[in-house]
Amino acid sequence: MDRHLNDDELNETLASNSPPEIVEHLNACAICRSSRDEMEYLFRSLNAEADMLAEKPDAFWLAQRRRINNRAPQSHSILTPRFALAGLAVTVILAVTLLLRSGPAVKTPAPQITAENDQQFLVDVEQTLDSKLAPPLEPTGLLVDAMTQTSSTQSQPTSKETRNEN
Amino acid sequence: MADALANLSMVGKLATTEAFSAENFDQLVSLNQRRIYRLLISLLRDPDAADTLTQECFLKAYTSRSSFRGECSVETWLYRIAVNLARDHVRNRRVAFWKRLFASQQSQSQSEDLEDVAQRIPDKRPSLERNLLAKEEVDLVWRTAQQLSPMQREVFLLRFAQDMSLEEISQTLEVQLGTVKAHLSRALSTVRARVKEHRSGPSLK
Repeated sequence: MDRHLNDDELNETLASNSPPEIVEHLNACAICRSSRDEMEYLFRSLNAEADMLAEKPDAFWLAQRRRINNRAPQSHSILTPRFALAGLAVTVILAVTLLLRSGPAVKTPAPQITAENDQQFLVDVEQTLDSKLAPPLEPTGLLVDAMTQTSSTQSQPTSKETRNEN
Repeated sequence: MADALANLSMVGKLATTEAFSAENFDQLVSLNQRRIYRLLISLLRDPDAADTLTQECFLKAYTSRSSFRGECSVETWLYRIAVNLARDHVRNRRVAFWKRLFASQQSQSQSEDLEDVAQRIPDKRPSLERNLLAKEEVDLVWRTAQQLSPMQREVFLLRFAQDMSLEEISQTLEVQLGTVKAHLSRALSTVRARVKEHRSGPSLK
């Protein structure tokens, strides 16, 4: 290699193992070696600093372990099933209460108003009128007669209606 | 039992029921709590958050133990949980930051801590000036890492602060090796550019 390492090659050298030709160049070129070494030194300092930041007395680790262990069984192995059971019990109680409160459904019979009843009513009126009609009720008798005739003729159109249609 | 557990954990094949039984769980915590805390403090640089999330990590692992299939090591699985917790924390912290910004004055303690830490980094080079420069640069690298995209930051810090291999990072973040390389390369370019800029120009502090 007759040139200095470019940025990518230098990055590759810093990141992991370099290809043989780059290693060869680094051995031969003091400038590239110096660039690599300076960065390596800097990055190794990060590692040293992380070591130092993580350096704690035994009491710290012991206390941390205790806190983890105190929380682990309580929150997961014991409490979780308890909460689940409590939730289930509450659901069942609520469901039973709601069912008992509502009770059996009461059916109210719907009034049966049919055409048969109307017909029967008219027949009764007619019979009453036919039997003996009091003088003040005579107009009503006439009206019933007219209605009866109308209902009987409604099924067949009259000659007048036919004409009108035409 | 502790030895057996340690060996199994290192090899990466530990039956879920074994690892999370009441007796073994304590040992699982004991074996991994330092690594998880170290990972979290590297990613977050917040001791309280790292402590809280370390606890959360193990509790989450315990509650979702049935989802662990043994396809990776318990350690990698724990790392994965920790990284996800850190992501959520950063997201929430960003929201909290804007809320806090207008509510109270910013505390100086964090920057003081950084300074204190930087002073304690071992530097074998003799020159006082170079020593000071190196400390400044380490701070600059941390700050730059915090400004990277989440994936670039995670890849960068897992590689250099956690000293993980690219394959381990790929497993932890559940992304392809090529993706890890691409993100790491971009992160390195950004960090190197910032360091170069710092060396050539006035101090960024």
